[in-house]
Amino acid sequence: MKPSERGNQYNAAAGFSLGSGSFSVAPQIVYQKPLVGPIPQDPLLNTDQFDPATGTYTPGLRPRNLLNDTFAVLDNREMIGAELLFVFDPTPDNWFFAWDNDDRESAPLAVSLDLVYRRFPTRRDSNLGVLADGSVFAFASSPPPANLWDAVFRTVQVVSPELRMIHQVYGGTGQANGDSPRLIKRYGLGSTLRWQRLQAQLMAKWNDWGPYDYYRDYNLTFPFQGQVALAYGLETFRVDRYISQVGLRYQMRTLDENSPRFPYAPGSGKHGNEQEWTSYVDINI
Amino acid sequence: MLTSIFKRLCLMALILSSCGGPQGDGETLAPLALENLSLPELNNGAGIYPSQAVLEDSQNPFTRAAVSPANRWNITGWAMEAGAPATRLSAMFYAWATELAIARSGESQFQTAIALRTLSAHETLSEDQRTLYRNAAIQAYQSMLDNFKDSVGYTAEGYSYRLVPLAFYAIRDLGGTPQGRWVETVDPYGNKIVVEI
Repeated sequence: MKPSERGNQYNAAAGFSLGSGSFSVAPQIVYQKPLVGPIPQDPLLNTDQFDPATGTYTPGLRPRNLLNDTFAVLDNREMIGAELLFVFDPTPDNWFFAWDNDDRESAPLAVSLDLVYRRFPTRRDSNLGVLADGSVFAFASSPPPANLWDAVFRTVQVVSPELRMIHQVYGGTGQANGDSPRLIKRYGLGSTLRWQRLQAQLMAKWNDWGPYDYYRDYNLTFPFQGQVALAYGLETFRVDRYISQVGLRYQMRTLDENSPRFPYAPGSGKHGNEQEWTSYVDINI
Repeated sequence: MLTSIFKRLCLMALILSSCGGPQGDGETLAPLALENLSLPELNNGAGIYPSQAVLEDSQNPFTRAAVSPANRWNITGWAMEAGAPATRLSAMFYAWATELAIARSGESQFQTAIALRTLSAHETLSEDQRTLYRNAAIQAYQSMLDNFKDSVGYTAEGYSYRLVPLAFYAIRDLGGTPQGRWVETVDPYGNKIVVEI
């Protein structure tokens, strides 16, 4: 967790890292506050009014956005945050949070648990969205104040030089990038197993956003998303390169009224679903 | 010394930020009398995607005030009341055309076309004005066929329906000819449908 790097704010962060043998713990706190706050949340001021009797329309006070105001409050929103990070890594020859730790980790078992709590006492201003044709627009409003938490548990197991397993379990709450006020509570897990030139992957997510950024922009979630994949490569799998491989993948997700392409009437209580089998050959020259 | 400079910079930032934006902009919150609007002049294809001309239209009351979806429909209902003056349709046109210019959508184009079509049938307008709006309505419906082929509308129960067939028949009703590869045909159940070949 880091303070925002946007302007229009002041912030303070404090933390330390304490290590003992294979264990480390790193607590941190962050406080940030914009110098010029966001447009306040006010049911009367924010809502436009139309009186059919007189034909009078009174515009609402809309959140600022980066198209019309440099000082729009976005990730520099007022925040009090706390993080508590535990790590168990018995091999100091590689850093547990290196971007390619999946490949580099050498410990028989390395574990981390990251707990983050963020308190946002105010709303923010408006983010920008991009439509299918590339045009940019500002969302009409922004999510309300909220207290968010996230927990991520990750393990890397190197059973032998040829067998490696990476697992991750996460959970937390989240707000959309756009204007949806719906706070989501999401959970999920993912596992990757590599044995010689074989790689198996499993992923399951509950009430989480879809894979692309616009799912979060528009707060599009799926009750369940799952994926199982098996691949065989011409060389050992690594995160830093594409390798020629042949594989099978099955993915599915269920749909509700918060999902795109929901085939039933909102509020019907029904769930749709989408499934896909893929067999593929990737050739990397 | 450094503290003093920091304070001055903060003060400058505060002053600069208060120069622009809606906080200090009384115009944004001023009530607008929609009944008194002039009829749209439709310069430079205003109201027909991808024209942005409506945002430059000095008569458009909504260039600085994004109308909420609920009030766009409220204004639409108010404008479409039986016997309502044509100026109300002007408000409806500007509300939807502004939304179309800011965030393109088939629904905005379709409602803009409805406003133009209703203006073209308004008995208080001159023949020249009605011809102007009839031609613009045909162009707006044609824009549905060209740019918003997959757009849908929703019933109050949440069921969706395609807007393209409605635009296709509206062009015909207005005396125009739908352009492009759109044809009317019959599905296996004997229902008339509009498809692109």
